[in-house]
Amino acid sequence: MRKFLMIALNTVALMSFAALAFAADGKMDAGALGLTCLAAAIGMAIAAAGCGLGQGMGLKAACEGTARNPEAGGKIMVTLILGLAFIESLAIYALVVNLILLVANPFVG
Amino acid sequence: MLKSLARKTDEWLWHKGFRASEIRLLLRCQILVSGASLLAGVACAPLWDWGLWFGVGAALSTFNFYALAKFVQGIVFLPYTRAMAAGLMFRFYGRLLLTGLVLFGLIVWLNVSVSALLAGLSTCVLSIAAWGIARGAGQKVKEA
Repeated sequence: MRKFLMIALNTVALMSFAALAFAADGKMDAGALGLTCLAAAIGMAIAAAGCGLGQGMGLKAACEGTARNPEAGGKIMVTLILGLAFIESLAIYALVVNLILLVANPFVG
Repeated sequence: MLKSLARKTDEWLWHKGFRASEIRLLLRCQILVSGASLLAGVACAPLWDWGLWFGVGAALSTFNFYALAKFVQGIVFLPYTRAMAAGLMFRFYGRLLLTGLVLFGLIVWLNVSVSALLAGLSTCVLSIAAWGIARGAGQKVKEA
């Protein structure tokens, strides 16, 4: 699993750098554009999946904590909401970065 | 005036079902910040539109935080089920899709300043961080 993750992340990194290298002269050819789109799609998929899983795990832990100690439910809920807001903001940042890569890429003249 | 506005916002949030005072405080701050920046942005838009897009980003961030808090406080006291986690995930993806559509429209069609949007979107994280720091400092003072 770890090996697969490393290979996938390295592939994404290589694709991103390749797109930047192709786009360095101010114009992006079709291949580089395709790689950029692929990198953006994979990046968004990883960000959304990771954030979704993180939120689900956080919710599970909060529900278990509340079930074991109902008196701490209020504090757990506040911490959970704040944690989920932080996680969600990460996904939104990833979304903005991907939109920038796709439609407002600063490396494309 | 600010106090009265804050009190009214607090009451409105209470009626909407936000019972945790910390969440109400944070949401109140977010609503006031995004409302003020939107008003200031609209007023200054002919000269400098950065403020307007900052306000739009802050409003988007506030909407996300509001929807998240409203859903979570309704389910956290219930026993955990898979449907609950699935509901949270689908709501998260729905909100992300909605936010994505709005951001796409703003960045692609309206060519707004991305830095302004990002700064506006960061207000939620910043207010939570500021609240945490203030709370930590308050606890240290109490302990001393």
